[in-house]
Amino acid sequence: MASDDVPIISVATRDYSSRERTHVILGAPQRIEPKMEYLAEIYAALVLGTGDYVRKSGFKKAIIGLSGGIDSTLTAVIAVDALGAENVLGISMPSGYSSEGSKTDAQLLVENLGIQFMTIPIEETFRASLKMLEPALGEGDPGLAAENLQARIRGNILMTISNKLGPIVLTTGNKSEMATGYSTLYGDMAGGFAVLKDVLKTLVFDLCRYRNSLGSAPVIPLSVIEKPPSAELRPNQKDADSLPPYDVLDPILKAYAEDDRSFSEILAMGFDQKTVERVMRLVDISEYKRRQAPPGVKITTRAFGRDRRLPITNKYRETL
Amino acid sequence: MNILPLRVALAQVNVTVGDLEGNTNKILTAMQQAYAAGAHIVCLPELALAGYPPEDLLLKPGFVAANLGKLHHLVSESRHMPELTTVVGFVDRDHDIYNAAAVINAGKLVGIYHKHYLPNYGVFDENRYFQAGRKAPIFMINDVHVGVNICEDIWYPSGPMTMQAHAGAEVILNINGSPYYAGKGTFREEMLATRAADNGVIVVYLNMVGGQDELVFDGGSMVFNEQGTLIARAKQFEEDMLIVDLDSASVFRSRLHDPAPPPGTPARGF
Repeated sequence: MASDDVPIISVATRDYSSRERTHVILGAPQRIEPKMEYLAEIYAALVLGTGDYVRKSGFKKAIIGLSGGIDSTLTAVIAVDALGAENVLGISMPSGYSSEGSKTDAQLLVENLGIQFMTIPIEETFRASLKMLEPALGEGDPGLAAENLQARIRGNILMTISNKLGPIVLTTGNKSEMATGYSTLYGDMAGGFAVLKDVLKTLVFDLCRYRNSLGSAPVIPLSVIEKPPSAELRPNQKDADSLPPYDVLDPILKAYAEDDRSFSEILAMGFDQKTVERVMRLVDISEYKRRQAPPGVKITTRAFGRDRRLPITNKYRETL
Repeated sequence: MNILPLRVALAQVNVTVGDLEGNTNKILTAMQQAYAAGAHIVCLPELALAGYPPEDLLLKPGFVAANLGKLHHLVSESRHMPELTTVVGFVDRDHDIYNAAAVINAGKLVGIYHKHYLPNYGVFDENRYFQAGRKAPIFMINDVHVGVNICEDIWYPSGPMTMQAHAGAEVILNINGSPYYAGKGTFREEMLATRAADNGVIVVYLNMVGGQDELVFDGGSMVFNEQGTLIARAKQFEEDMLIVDLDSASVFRSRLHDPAPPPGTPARGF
């Protein structure tokens, strides 16, 4: 049946029959490794992707800003699983808005992981920076600029340590934040690799519970999983003040940013019109931020990276 | 008629893009391990020599040439393992460049396969670099008809794999650099089982493992018999060497027992 397109090429090989073989039942199942469960698989992908990025780029160690929040906690645990506790350095950078609970949670995590840890308070630098900027910013509450300034002071600290001592900075933002732009350019987005870039916040929670189910004692303090998420950049701030609850936000983000569903299709999923409109707008206007973010591990069909090539300058908006 | 099993080694290695020296050494080690394990064939992943995806390194003639130099080194080393046939991914150059698989045996480059289907969606950019292949050769390895193809080629029911199966291939070796996303494993498994059963061939699916920038290759290489039953699976997210004994005689038996014409065959009697 050989033809031009299907030529048959003979490969001369010697007779193998004299070589000893173990007895097998032909056609029967041989070594079948078990298939991992959904969360185990995603977790393993994050560990391998992070570890290989760090190693193959010539780094040995990683540095992470530990706020006591759930994102930096999961990032640190993944880093330890990927690189070993001896290769991960955690830095706590509390400000006046950092809660006692967060500081304790960061401390507890560090003890559970057995990583190197250092606290560098930013309050003094924050005040000095605001004072320095007063002539430029003018009187009155600097608002969001002051919130981002704290994140940028922290980014600066991590990058400076990285510069001097050599570890790669792992950023801690998740996909829900990346999608909505709930993150600070040159602040918490500053670094070499964004471990959770493709992990929606609701999945961050699931992965923490999954990781805690391994081993004899939970490595992630339960209060980290149970407290309401907060950036702690102003008094009593909660994510829920700026964003819809994550169990509403994440399905909308999946529908819009991953699956390209239309406005009316997303409404038909049962969400409130104003919420959907706002989420879509947040996604649309933060493309410029995402393009400046470090790469991160792809775990979905549509990650923010090679998978998604939206124009940055773009006037198109979904309408009903 | 071959009554001995065809022993195939699936070398699920973690290579690094651009590390031609390191990748070559890794491939050689895998060849030696497979040889020591008595394998007739060892498969290595898509573009294993260059690393996947090499992106714009492919626009550098020096990179393409260095990759070919390493391939010739592998060919030369293969003379020490004469009973072993190696299938390994590399960048071929013939006026233009191709995503290719080399078939190497006993110091000779026996044949080359060029990937037909070049994916250009999602994270893939293969049309940016490669020309598409047109031939689908079959290799006679220890009296077994073996078709070699690459990654995307097996995702289409009418692709080169079907040509090879219809032309008499009993075993298909499909080498991959298939990036992970949650849920892809099940999707792949169902597709491969269907492809094996529909064409009545043993399908050996080899994936690479490891991280490359934002991509993670998840391994989980698999083998299906000609009835579409999973008969072997390698570890996920780890390097592994899966060795499997294939019953090529069973392919012929199955074809006699189930004389349904292969898909695409014109209906008779009209």
